[in-house]
Amino acid sequence: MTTPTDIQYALMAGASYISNRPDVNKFPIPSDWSSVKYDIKDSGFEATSFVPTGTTLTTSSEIVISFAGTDFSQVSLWPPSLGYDFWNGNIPLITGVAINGADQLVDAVEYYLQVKASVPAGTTITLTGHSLRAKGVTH
Amino acid sequence: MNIHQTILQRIVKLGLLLMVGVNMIACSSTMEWKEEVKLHDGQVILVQRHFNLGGYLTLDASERTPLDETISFSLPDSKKTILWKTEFNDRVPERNSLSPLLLGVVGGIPYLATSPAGCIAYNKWGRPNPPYILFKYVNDAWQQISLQEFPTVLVHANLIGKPAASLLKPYYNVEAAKAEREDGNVSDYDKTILREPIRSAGLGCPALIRTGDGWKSRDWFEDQPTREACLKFCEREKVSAESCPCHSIFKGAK
Repeated sequence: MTTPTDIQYALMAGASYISNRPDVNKFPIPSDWSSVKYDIKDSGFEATSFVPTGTTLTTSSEIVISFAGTDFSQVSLWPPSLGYDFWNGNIPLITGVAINGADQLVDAVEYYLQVKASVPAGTTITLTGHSLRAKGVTH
Repeated sequence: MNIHQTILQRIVKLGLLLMVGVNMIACSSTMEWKEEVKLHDGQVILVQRHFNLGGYLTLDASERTPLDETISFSLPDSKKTILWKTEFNDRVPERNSLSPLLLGVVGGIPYLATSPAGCIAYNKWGRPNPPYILFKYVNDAWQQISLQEFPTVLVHANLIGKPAASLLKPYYNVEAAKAEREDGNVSDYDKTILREPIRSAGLGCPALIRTGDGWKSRDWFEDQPTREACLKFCEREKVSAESCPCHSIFKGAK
């Protein structure tokens, strides 16, 4: 079994920022690992999974799910951008109150369950993330 | 901890978060400059660049993200003012988010070479390789054209990228613009309009399918066990019939 090191987990936490980084500012994916099952929602939720290169979700015994942190972009002067990440992720996560019916904690759970449903029993799934999503992971 | 303390803690947290949010909103602004653009025939025209800016990518980011960009310039002969505008919004399915690279005027007709800004934009524009979206100004409108239609005399990028806010100058002459373009890590395909596909196009950017509320990488669909399961997945994720990739993935399968 290929267990990621702490540094690899950290790189994976950074490498899930795919949508809002120019190529030169993207985190490198740890060598010998590949990104699969990328998902980004209009609410700002963003996640991807990593498996050892040469394996798939169904053949790998170790899977890492990485959740990207808050995207504060697209904030408009007026009206406030209630449709975006800060309001859909941070506020519901901290307060337990969902605005606009969006709740990224639910998105994260759903993502995890979708990945779990597509792997054999006994597969090790670990989570990593930065900022907002690190908070989500601890939930 | 009793329930009153929990509620109080949440109220305090919410207050702090709202303060941060209000600060982010209050920071919205614009960014603009003028730059001299040297055309392929040696003529120099003055181009006005204007960005409307949104919030920050993250709390620790130093650069605001662009909401839209407008380029305006006058044609050398007719002095007619021409505008080009792009919005930056990955959260809508419409095609947008382009970075201008080269402005040219050939036979009195303006041409513009751009590249998709970011992975979602790259997918929205159909994952072009070489990674350019090209335009020609005809009948008072910008019309997208193919690489074959783009004049071969237009080769070298002559527009600068969005400078760091702290380093922005109000005016860039030809030399300053050249220095700005050559500063930092710039891809070869951003320096020169390449005519052949390149290996690095789309690297680190998965093929994405538009769902009802975002984007999913194509492997979500490829990993479905059957065509029927794939179609059900499309239905569940509210993927339109045109965007659902199941028929191409399971082509020939029963």
